[in-house]
Amino acid sequence: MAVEKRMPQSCPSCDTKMKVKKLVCPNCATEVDGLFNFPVLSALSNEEQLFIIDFIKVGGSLKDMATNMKLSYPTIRNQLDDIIERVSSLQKLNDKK
Amino acid sequence: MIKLLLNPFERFAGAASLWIGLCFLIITCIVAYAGNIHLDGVLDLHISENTTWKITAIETLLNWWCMFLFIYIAGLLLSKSSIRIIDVFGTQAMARAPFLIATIGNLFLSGSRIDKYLNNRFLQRGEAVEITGGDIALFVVSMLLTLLALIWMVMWMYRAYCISCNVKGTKSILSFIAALLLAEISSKLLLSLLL
Repeated sequence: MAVEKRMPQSCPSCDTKMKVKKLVCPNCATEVDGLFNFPVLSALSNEEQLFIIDFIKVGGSLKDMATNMKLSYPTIRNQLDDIIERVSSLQKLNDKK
Repeated sequence: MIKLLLNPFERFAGAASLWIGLCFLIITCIVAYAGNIHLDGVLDLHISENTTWKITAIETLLNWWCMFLFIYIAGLLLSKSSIRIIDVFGTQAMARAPFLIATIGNLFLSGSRIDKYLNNRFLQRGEAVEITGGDIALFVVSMLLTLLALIWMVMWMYRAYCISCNVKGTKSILSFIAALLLAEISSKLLLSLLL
């Protein structure tokens, strides 16, 4: 059974937010070395990221999303509002650093 | 299924909850009229002698609207989300559905020997009647059913508030209690003025 790997967001030793140091091309093995920030959205949980993908797929319609997920409109709107709040706080945190 | 019984508003809100709620409110109204039951407050019901269609309809509507009004005001004051009035209105109507069980519980008591006995004993009304163990059992079952239905209804009202207004944590509990108290007082006041 394939294990789904998750990118660690913070240091397991001191909890500082991690950065990307190396990128590798899986085709020709070219490596790029540097210090890159994670995109803000990658800090969200898998469920939150899937929610955003679904939201984009339905063209940003909360009504369609609620119908597809068999949930009520305010439940979906609340989930979106929670994600917006989390993204805003993550952005603020990034801006401070 | 259990999730639906504990919190149906994750699934139903807006117009859907309004229609479901209206169906239950109409049935509650019919049962209350049939059983001479007064729904005289957001959380109240009492067996009476002189109920009419008009009275039960006004009581049912006022109880629902009072709760909706204070919940909506609480939502406007505390929520960061954009609240849809139809969600608050509909979910608060649907949240009153368990009250039908309480009304049915009291329907069995209305006009029963235990009802006559209690009226005679504590209100000095009607003739004295003897009661049996069966009457006491009926009374206990009805009271338990009523209590359970009331708890269930309050729980649904709270869940409806949290979902329709996107309010969470301690502030949701405190504001809900305040809204419930204000709705109870205002419904009592309005009903005493109107009826």
